[in-house]
Order: sequence, then C-alpha cells, then structure tokens
Amino acid sequence: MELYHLYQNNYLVVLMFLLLGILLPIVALTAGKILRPAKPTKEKQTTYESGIEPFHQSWVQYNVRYYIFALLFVIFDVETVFLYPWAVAYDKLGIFALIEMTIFIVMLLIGLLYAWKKKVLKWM
Amino acid sequence: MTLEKLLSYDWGIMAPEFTILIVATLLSLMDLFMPNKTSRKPLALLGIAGVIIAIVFSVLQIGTEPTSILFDTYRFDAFALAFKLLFLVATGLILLLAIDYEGEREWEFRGEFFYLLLTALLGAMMMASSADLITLFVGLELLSISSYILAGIRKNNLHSNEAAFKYVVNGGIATAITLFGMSYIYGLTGSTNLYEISEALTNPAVEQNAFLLVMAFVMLLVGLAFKIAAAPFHMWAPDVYQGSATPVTAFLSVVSKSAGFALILKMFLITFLSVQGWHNAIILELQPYIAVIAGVTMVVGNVVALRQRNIKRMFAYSSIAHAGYVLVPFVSLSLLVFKMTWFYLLAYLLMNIGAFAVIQFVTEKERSEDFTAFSGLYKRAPWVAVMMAVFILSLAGLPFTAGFIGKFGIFMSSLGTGHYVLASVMIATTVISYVYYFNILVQIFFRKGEVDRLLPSIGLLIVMIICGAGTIFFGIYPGAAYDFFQEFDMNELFIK
Amino acid sequence: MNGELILFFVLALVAIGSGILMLNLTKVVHMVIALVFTFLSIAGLYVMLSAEFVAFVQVLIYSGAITIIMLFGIMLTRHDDKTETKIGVPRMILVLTGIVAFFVVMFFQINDLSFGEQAADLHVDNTEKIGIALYSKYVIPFELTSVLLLVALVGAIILAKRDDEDKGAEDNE
Repeated sequence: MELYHLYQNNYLVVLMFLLLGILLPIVALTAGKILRPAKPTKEKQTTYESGIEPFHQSWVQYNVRYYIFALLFVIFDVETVFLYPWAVAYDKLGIFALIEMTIFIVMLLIGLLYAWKKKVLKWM
Repeated sequence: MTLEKLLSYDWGIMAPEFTILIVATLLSLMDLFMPNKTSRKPLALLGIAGVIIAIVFSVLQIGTEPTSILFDTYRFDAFALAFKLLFLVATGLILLLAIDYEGEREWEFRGEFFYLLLTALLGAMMMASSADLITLFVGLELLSISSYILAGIRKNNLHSNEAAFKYVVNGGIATAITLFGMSYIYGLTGSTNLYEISEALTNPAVEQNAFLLVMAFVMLLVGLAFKIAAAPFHMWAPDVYQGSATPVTAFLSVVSKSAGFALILKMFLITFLSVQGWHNAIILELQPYIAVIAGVTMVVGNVVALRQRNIKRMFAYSSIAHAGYVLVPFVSLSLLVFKMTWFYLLAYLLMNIGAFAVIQFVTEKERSEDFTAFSGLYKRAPWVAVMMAVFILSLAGLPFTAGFIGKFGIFMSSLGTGHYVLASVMIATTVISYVYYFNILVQIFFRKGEVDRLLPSIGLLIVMIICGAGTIFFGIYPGAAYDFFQEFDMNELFIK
Repeated sequence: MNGELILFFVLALVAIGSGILMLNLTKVVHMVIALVFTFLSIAGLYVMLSAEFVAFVQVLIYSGAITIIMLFGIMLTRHDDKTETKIGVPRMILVLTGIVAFFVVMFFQINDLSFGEQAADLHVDNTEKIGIALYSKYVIPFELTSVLLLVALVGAIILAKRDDEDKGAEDNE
C-alpha cells in the first residue's frame, strides 16, 4: 500500500503540470482582455491580410497527401508502442525477444517499402 | 521462459498458417517489384499454389492429437482443422474467380487484391485455431480489415466506395461491441484463455454476477451476429455485397461468414456451456433469444429477397437467410451441432461460390447486374445455365443436391430437440425462397434474350465444374462428407 | 471522501462532459478539442487504476495520433456549416430510453459486484510486466499484429491515394 501511495503521489506532479498548462493560456488571455481597451470599429474587426482587403474565406482545402502521411504516422505510432515494453523487458527476456522483434520490424519494413514503391513518400 | 522452452513447442503444426503467411508476404514483395504494366495474374496462380500446399499440410494433419502452443494462443484440434479446410478450399476457389475478374472499368491494385484475400484467410484460420481471446480477436480484426479494403479496392466505382465506407463504420461498431463483451468476461474471470475462463466461470464468486455474464454473452452475440449478417444486424450486407467485386462478395458470403460461425460455436460452447445463469445453464436460458434471431433472419432474408432486382443484392439477402438456417443447429444444440453446421457450410460453400461464378460470368458479359441479364442464358451458354440451375436448386434446398441434405439434417435436428416453431419457420421461409430462386430459373430457361453464344473463361469453368460436381455428389452421397467428418473428433474441442 | 474519490469524479465528469459537448458542438474543430479532453481524462482514469502503460498509450495514440488524423480529415474536407436533418423526436426518445435502461441495469449490477482479494502491486514495473507477457506468452498474437498493421498500411495507401497521382508523375518525367 505504501508503494501504491508513492505511485499516486508521483502523478500529482503530472496533474500540476497539466493544470498549469491549461490555466496558463486561459489566465493570459483573460488578463489581456480585462486590461486592454476595447473600442471595436468595423475596420478593426476585419481579418488582417498584410494590408490587402480580405477576400473569400480563410479556409483552405489541404492537399490529400497530408492525409496519407497522417495515416502512415498513426500506423507507425502504433508500432512504436510495441517497442517500449520490449525495450523495458529486454533484459528479462531471452534472445527470442530479439528474433520476435526482428520479424515484427521486417513486416513493417515491407510496409514502408510498399509506401515508397507506390510513390506515396514522394511529394512531387 | 527460455529459447529452448519456446522451441520445444510443436511449431510444425502451424504449417498451413505459415504457408499462407509466407505466400502472402512473397506476393506482396513480387507485386512491388513487378513492372507496372505486367499482368498480375501469375501472382494469383502462386496464391492458389500456396492454398493448395496449405490444404495438403492440413489433410496430412488429420488424426493428429490436439496440440497447444504457448498456452493455447494457438491450438490445433479437430474442430479447428475441419473449419480451416473449409476456409482453404473456399479461398482457393475464390482466387480462381478473382483471376478472371475484370470489372466494368479498369482498376489498379490487382496484386493487392490477391494477397489481401490471403491475409483475410489467415485471419479466418487463426479464428478457428486458437483458444485465447487475444488471438481470436486479432484474427477477427485481420479478417475484417482485409475485407474492408477488399470491398473498397475498386476506387473508381461509386458503389464500391459506398460498400467500403458502410462496411468500415458498421464493422467498427460491431468490433467495439464484441470487445466490450470480451472485456466483461476478462474482468470477471481474470483470464483470456477460453478453458480457464470456463473453469473460472463455474466459481461461485463469479456466479453471483450471473447478470453481468448474461450481458457479456449478449454483447458478444450481437457483435458476432454482425459478422455472420444475422438479422437485425444484417443491414450492411446488401450494400456491401452489391458494391464489392464479385469474388469479394463470394469471399464475404462464404469465408467471412463461416469464420464467424466457427468463432461463435467455439467461443460460446467452450466458455458458456456449463455456466449457470439465473435458474438454468446460461446457454439454455438465452436459447429463445437466439431462436428469435435465427427465425427473424430467415424471414427477413427470404422476404426482402423477393423484392430485389439486382442479382448481387438478391444473393446478399439469400445469404442472410442461409445464416438463419445455420444458426438453427446452434439453437437446438443437439449432439450433432458440429456435424450439421459443418456439412451445411460445406454445401453452402459449393453452391454459393458456384452461383457467384455464374453471376460473375453473366454480369461481366452483359455489363448489367439486373437479374434480367440472365434471360435466355440457356440458349447462349447451355452448360453454364444447367450448372446455375443446379446451384439454385441446391440453394433452394431441393432433393439430390447438397443443399437439400444440409437443410434436411438441420430440420431433423431441430425437430429432434423439440424446436417445432423454428422448424416450421424454416419450412415456410424455404417455400418463400422458391419464388425468387425460380424467378431466376425462369429468366434463364424461358425468357428470350440475346442470341450470341457465350463462353466462360477457364478459371470460371473450373470453379463451376468443381462446385457443380460437389453439389450433386454430396447431394447423392452425403455419406462421403459425413464419413470424412467422422475423422474429426469434435470432443477434442472440450479437452483442455 | 478522500482525494482519490474526488479525483475520480473530476476525471469521470470531464470525460463524460466532453463527450456530450463533442456531440452538441457545431464546429468540427471544437468537437476534436472536446474529444481530446475525453481521451486525456480517460488516461487519467487508467493511471488511477495502476495501468501506467495503458495510460501512456492512450495519450500517445489517442490524444496524439488519432486527434491529428481527425484534424487532417477536417482540413481536407469542405464543410459549409449547414444544419443537418434533425433526428425525429420518437427516435430520440427510443434511443434515450435504451441508453438509460442500459445504464441503470449496468449500474446496479456493477454496484453489487463482488470480487474478493484484489492485487495491490499492479503499478510496480507495469511496462516491464506487459513486456514479459507480450513477448513470451503472447508471441503469436503479437506477430499476427504485425501482419494486421501491414494490411492496415497497405489499405490506407490503397484507399487514400489519389487516382491521378501515377499518371501525373508519368507526365512530369
């Protein structure tokens, strides 16, 4: 039980940082809002586009290629997750852990090869 | 654990799985390094060769003692082998269909098309031969994800896009429900091994929570009912079947469905058979509900099929109805449950893949999926027409076909256990099914269509001949299949 | 009422509240932000359950990767803020009763759940324990996962690749 409380207390620090991270922008923005003078005119409220009169929407449709990169990122991210417990437990496992991970990585390399051959990694 | 311990397991027993895995990997590499313009058909032949090698390995394994590798995360027994043989044969035939599949417009990713079928097969095989929830789930996902991609592989076809999208969304929800059910079982028993779960579930401390067990059971059933397209979770099937390429439709309706049944039988019969619900064994208490699902599936499938004009949609509803029939032995739970299910799935494999071969042939030539595309087929390709007649008579369940024997066996087993209502629903819906099945026959034999002769390609012809011969052979000598099945001692499933 | 219980209620409230917010907000980007809060508070719940590694995975995959993929999805698609067709009241009531019934039933069942002895040292070397189990007991599902990921990768490329890409590349060469 002692250990468990120690474990929990460790996470109090994480909680503090999390709260700090959330509060910082909120406090900064609210403080700014209270302190600054607010005299809005129609001119002031338009979007600033380097001095040019703003036209059409601010929304730009992105290239679909970004999405493939995002998808690849998720898949390789999931793979990375498997590496952590492997690395941590490596000393307690035998040589077979290395073989298992090699097979795993090779399968993923085939995936990377696939992406490369299909010219997904090339931008132009 | 040491390397010696790991190597002491009998890894040779996994030979069929290794074969499929290695062939799939090889195909993916070869596909990558082949020039873009080269035909991908040789890859499919290699795939078929791999499937045949795996079938040979499997047949050689008949009679082997049950073997477990790594705490049942892989488990070889007669049940697994019997179902794996079905998957392998079906996938081999479907690969033959896939070689000649062209589609109405040009599409790329042919190589992927072949090896994704193999990875899906690998998932199905793992679903049959594991007794651990984790492996079962990964196998289920491998099958599902490969199927999602296969459904959407013809990217320039809008129906295909719709099919993939609907399949992914519905499949994702079903997977989540299945996993939620599994998590309750793991939470109550603290184990993922099916045999340990079944032991832990008889523990009085767990039995107090019978209600949660019932909820877990229901959630698992709902999730898996989606996989076999049983009502009321069948809504995805018509759209997905219609939108997918015909070989993929055949794969979904045969392999994917059989794998779902294998998983249902295995999971529910091992874990829940001896578990108490409130008053009675949990599986008996929930029997009426499963019976309702089976009945509704038969009625919905057959009645809605009457209104379909698109042939693939019609066969989607027909395959929903057949899922209802195969659920009947699971409801009646006689001693013959495995035998009946296995034989029906075998008959269904032969007649359904055969029918899809003819459908692929006709829809490609006619460039139409309307069922009037079949009109005058008898004049244009007499042998194909006769073959289609055999498949349809078998699907309708008329004598001298494998479909009849399978349906009759299921019917008798439900009468034998006193499920009279279910048996009569089965008869009634079978009669309804005659209407739409015979409608196709009328088109083929009595309507006038084009007059030019049509010739099927060799691959299609081989599939039609194998399936047609099998359908008639097992319809006249069902003993051959039953004797073969006697080789498999299903009690092995329950021995830890 | 100890600190653990308070923390649990705060996290649960954030998780459920953000979930509801996600469903009711109108701007898609706001929905994703709400979703991130759900993911993070669920990670907090995992930490409370001594499942350190799962919490870490939750943050890495869900709050990180999944959120990014959603943002990319939003940036790719057009969305003129049009109101969608509303679901009819009868259907809403039906769904609501279903959810409430499920909750009530589950709540009372889980409330009288009895387990007996509980392990108290789950948090000790959590990642290492998972590693040992994964790489000695669950070797087969692990290797199967690599095939699964490969299939997912191939599928992602097949389905998300633009059709005219190859042709365009050939023209440039």
